[in-house]
Amino acid sequence: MGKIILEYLDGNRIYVCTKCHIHISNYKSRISKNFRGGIGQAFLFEKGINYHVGQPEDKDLMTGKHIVQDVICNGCNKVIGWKYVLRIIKAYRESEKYKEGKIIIERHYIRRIKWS
Amino acid sequence: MQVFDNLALQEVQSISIDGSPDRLKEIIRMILQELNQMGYSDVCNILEEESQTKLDTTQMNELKESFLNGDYEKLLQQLEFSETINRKLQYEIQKQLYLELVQQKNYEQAVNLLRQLSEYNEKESQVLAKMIFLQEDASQLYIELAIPIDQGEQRLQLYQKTLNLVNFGDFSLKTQFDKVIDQALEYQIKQCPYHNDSNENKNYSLLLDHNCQCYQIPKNNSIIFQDFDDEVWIGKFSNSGIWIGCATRKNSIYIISKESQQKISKAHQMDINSLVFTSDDKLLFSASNDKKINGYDVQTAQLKVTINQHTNEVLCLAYFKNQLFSGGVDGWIGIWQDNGKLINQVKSKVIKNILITDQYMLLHNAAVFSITVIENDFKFNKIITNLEEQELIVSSAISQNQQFLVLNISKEKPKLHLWSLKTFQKLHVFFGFQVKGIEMKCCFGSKNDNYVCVGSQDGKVHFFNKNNQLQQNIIDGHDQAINYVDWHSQTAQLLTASDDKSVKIWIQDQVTQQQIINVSNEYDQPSNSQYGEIEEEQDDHEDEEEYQQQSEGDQSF
Repeated sequence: MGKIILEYLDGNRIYVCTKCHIHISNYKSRISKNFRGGIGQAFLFEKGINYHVGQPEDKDLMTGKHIVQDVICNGCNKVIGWKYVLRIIKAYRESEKYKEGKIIIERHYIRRIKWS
Repeated sequence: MQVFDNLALQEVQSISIDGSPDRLKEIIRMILQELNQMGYSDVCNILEEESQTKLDTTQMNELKESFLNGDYEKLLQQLEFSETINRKLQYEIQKQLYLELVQQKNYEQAVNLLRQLSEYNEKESQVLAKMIFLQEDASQLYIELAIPIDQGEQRLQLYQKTLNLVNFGDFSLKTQFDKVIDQALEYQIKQCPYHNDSNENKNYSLLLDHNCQCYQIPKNNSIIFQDFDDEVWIGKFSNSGIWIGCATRKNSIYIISKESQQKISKAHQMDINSLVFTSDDKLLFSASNDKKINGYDVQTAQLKVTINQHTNEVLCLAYFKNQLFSGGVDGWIGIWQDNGKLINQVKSKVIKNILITDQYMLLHNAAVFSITVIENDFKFNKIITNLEEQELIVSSAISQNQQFLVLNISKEKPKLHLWSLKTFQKLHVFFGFQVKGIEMKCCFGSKNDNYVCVGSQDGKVHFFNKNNQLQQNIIDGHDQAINYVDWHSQTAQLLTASDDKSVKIWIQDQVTQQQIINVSNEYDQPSNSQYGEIEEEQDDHEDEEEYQQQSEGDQSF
């Protein structure tokens, strides 16, 4: 179905998908390294590119109940992390609010390029 | 202010009882006016008699008589004009009056009038002044002013001048007939959907409705190259138009001509982003996401040179004056010789495409929504301007005459933006084709780069006329999406590369026999591909080890 339209990031210290090497996010956007995913360590990023999200689901995580969406890489269609959904209703813990709208990518699925 | 239009006004004033002007009568009057102006007065008289319609109605006759009698004051009262025309007419009438006064030797009044005349037109007034003060050379002066010597003729001339002035505001000798024809022609040209503004056809024949034939659009399929190993993502003509370089989804390169088809399997390990021929068509360079640039001999399809110096994906190539330009994720543009030797490096952002003209180097930035225009001197460090866009620019192309740039902006809604490279302004936006998240190449084509061509998701090819923004033509190209279009200006051939694993060539002329050529004979390059595979496996192993160690660490914690 043709070559998909890809976005790119300028600058150094970029994280790319392990399998298809498309740009996902960069060091500037990385907020925290202290996350745990199904496979191991995961990073919290402010924003990313070249991904799309799946359906919102209710999930029970280590930090409590959240509504999350799968983050899927555009190039290889693999689930590489998840995204906390922006909610309007306050139903869950206030301390977790800072994660909303940001994405979490599992470290196993991404690689570093242009790292000085 | 309304301009007094004599024929029209006459008609309106002499309308028949049922309330509508008689079309037949109007036509005859127009013809009479035209014939009169052309000088065929005899024919005019005969026509007037036979058709029982006169060129001038009673009101016009009265007007004419006023002129011929020299009733200038009455005249100026009768006719209503705009400011400028009034002034001009007044001047002309006063001039005539002056001449008559001089004839009658009424010098006092003449001199007074002369003062008024000189306010409007000094140059002529000086000539007029000579008439009083140098009486001998009167006839000479008349010739200078282009006025006949006989008074009756003078008055007639004034009358005709007035008519012309009143019709069109200038002293042109156009009749209503001419005016209508000019307007009709203008309208037809505007309506012409295939209108081509070349200088050849400036004198359009009046006998036929103007309609540029769409002969400029190559809509006849002359050759189909089929049986590629997968979707064809790039298809490019060589400079001479004889060879075609294609790249498919399986990372194979095909070098094709009508006589020979050669395939290079697994030319790269990852997506091929760009293909470019050298100016002499001897080598074909390819750039890929596997960070390599390969150069193949066009005749034999042998790998001649590999450039490994990029540390990240190479997204684009360009060839200009025996130098190869490459750009990509690295952040620098490499300038190479044909043998792979690096000549120069230019710092840049992440570059999706490099377009080079005689004057500029245009860099299509991948991360920022803009095109950077750099002066094409040897150093490439002078940035002239940035062409800003609101959305991601998917693909870009330059016209043959290097005056125009077209950008495919299709992330949200499919559209093309046309930019001028003279004024660096956005000229127009073209809509109409379909895109669903895949890269589609657009290009210019035909003589004078009149058309912009782009493929569509549904397999149709869209042509837009650059000058006349009515959508031109859509031809059924393929069944599936068209990824790449290339239009070769000299041979006037269009190439479309599609997901249906075929490449089609289109020409303007009628095709007597369509050629179907299978490209599936292979000239494998075994040495290249094996080496590549071994490297890849090693890389994978390294990665796995790294992650295993780390996860163990976590679990123990």
